[in-house]
Amino acid sequence: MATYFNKYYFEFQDNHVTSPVTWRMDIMDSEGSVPTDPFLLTMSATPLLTERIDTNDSKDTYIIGRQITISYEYDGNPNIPLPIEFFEATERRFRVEVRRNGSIDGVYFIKPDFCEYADQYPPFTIQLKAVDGFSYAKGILFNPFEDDGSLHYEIIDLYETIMTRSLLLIADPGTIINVVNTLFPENIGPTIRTLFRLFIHTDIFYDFVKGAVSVHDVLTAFCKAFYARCYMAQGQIWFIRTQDLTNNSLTGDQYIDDTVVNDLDITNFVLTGGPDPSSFDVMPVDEIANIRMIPAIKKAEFEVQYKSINQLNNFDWRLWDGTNFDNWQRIEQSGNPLILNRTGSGTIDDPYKASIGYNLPQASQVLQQTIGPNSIFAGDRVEISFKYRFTNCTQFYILVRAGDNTEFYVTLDESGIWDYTFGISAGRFYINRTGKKREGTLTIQSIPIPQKITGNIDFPANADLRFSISIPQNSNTDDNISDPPLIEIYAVKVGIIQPEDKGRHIVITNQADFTQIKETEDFSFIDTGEDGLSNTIFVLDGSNFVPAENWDNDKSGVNSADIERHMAKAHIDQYPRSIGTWEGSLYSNNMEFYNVIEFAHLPGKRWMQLSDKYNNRTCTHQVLLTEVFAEGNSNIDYLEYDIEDTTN
Amino acid sequence: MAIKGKDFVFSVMRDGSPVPVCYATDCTIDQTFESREITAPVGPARDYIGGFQGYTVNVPGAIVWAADVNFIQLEVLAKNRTKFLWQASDSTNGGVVHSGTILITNLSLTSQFRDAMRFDMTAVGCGPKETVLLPIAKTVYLADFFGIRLPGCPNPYPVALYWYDETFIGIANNADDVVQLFNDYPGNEFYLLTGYTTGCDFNILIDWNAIFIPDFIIAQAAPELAMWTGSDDEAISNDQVNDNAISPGYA
Repeated sequence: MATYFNKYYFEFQDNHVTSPVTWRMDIMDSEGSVPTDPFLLTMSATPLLTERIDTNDSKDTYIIGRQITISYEYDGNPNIPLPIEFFEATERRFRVEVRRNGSIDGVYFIKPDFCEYADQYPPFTIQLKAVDGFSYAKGILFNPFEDDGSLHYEIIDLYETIMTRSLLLIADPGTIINVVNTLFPENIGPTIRTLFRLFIHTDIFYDFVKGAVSVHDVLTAFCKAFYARCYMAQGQIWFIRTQDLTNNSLTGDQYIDDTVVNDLDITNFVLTGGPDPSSFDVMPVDEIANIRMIPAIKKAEFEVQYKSINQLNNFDWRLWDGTNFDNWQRIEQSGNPLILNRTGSGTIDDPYKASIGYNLPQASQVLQQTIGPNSIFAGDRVEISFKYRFTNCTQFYILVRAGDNTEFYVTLDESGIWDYTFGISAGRFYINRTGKKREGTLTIQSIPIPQKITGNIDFPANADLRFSISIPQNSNTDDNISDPPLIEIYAVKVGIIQPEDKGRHIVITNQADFTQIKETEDFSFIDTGEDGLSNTIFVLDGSNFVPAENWDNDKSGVNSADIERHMAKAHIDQYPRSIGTWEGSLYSNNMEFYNVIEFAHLPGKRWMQLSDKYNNRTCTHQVLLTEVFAEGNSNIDYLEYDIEDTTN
Repeated sequence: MAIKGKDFVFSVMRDGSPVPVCYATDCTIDQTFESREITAPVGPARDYIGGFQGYTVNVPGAIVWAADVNFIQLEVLAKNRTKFLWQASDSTNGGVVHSGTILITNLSLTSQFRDAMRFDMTAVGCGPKETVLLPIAKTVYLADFFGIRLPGCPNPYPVALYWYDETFIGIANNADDVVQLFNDYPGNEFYLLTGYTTGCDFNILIDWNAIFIPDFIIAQAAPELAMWTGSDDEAISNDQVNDNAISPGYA
């Protein structure tokens, strides 16, 4: 992280009638000369606005960023920063720290594209917008790599996933994450410290063709699975399962780093709302608030695509002895092995590649790896994915063969269909180059391996899966006539999806009479009990990773179930009937986004915050609140089935 | 020059010292205290909490070019967008002192036929308006009931001291006795003699809320006076030499 120094600041006391607090805003620069003292800016009438962004009227907005608007006066004094200083800078050059009574409340970065000022003779107001790290979550990718640039392709715990390889790329080193989640898999028993005790495979967030997903996608995957929300407050990250907002206190884990974790227990997270600042935590003020009704959800649908874990060894060509790749066979033909080399430097920018050339006479010179035996069964699907690059050639071929070493096997074609090819054809399919584009990608997800490979012949037991690549002799292209014909293969994925479908569909229905139907949503984590899918959440059983079993917590009315059932049920639980939203202004200077509110005049209802626009000077939160409901309060019908079989 | 108000003087602070501007009797300090309505529905009655506070000052005055602060100086302050300190009080050396920082928002000049040129300044308060309650420091002297300095000064002693309602306080043989008798008088709520510079000139601190601000201490030279003992025609004379007792009524 760049080194920042204080450059500009202002400080003010808010206008709270009984307990005013002091706010200080520091703009820090990472470039230019370091000033002797930071310069005091002249604040405008509304010096600081703090907003929750990316919010809408729904509880299933999972990632919620924060934005501040800083306003100060420019009168031509050369010490006051000209707008251009901020407007024509990179997004991470200027860092803004906001402190409440001396403690960090938020860290932001000035976003030039949102800043504005009047084009007039001074004085005028300069308005700067700055956003917190969550606003960069869509633009920064999950880091699946080791320090040496190789792919970290293995099972890791959730702390490493969510923090080390995701959030700490957008938040300061040392940022604390608070996790409130009462749900746990039964095969680790009632537990805390779930970020250390739950595991996933990095494959779920990495695609061999498209690369890593964004940090936003990583967070969304987890938030969706637990119906949780993630945001920054008080300079810390909060991950809170919405259903747990009905507890008496906000209890969970506070992760200081990847080894230190403390108990989190916020007993006063329920704020009282009423007409007296000395008796209540928050007070409705100004315009009359409106209570708007939101219809119940009748039906919600969800869909997951299974994603397999790579079964190839040395898939990223890391192990190379100068002649052969470990675990890969180089099949000769008439004493002529194919020409094989390793290119690239093994870094993220220049990963290793297998460089394959033909060696006259061509024919069956191949590079192959066999997975198994006993690795693949009838009904399994095979997933293949990799990138390649042509050099001065137009064609290479792939052979994917499942079966035994006799005639009982099937081969895959490029459309994902298995064919019985023994004695009929070579069973390979060709990847052709068209036009001048050299780079290409291949992604295939097969249909299930048939029970009968031909006639009445069953798919054999003890089958293996063979993956072969070769390059036929071709006429050269004119890339560069002096280059030998080569095909470069990037890291290859060959995975096996054990369930007999490529995904799963969930339909959950509210038994009560309502009509609103949610659009189908994709999700990532599902409990299939299979260990070959990266959709699986794992737990540690001794020294082995095993799939998580049913999830449960101690709440009454909550039955143990698969994670996806809890996910789906949460959507109905939180909209079991027509529910209210409260839209108005609340007077407070200590309300945090995780706080829920109980109004004295609306007994029996607890309200969570959906959006907030806070004027730090007037202590006014313009909020949208909605009722929060206990877990397991709805009656549902639950249906789960395989996605309809398709060829690809 | 600007005419100082008799009761209330509005001043611009210059180098830490107040420079009077105008007739303070015409000055207006207009404070606003905003409120915010509490909207939790607890009944039909409206309820509020306090909000932002602000003030404006309006200072009309007659233009005298020789004055330290006149229309010209105010115009310079306004054109330069200069915020400046102000002070207004009902005494030049204490009392109720209002102060703060203002920015001129309006400055008008009026010249009417057969009338003096006048100006009118309006300014908006920047930051809080302070109100300080200070004792008024001044000097007083020994005088008779009519404010005439005692002829024996600086050493008219012994003298008879009176309160301002003409109640006899006691006999003072020197300035220290005056200080003690004056300060200890039970009817004295607002005044404190802190010392003297001559036998007849005293420093006094007057509470900010004193009913009136005296210029002198009432006394009568003692040889003119005897004190009735409370019985018959007996009196105690201050004339230790001749034992004469002369009543003021017969003087």
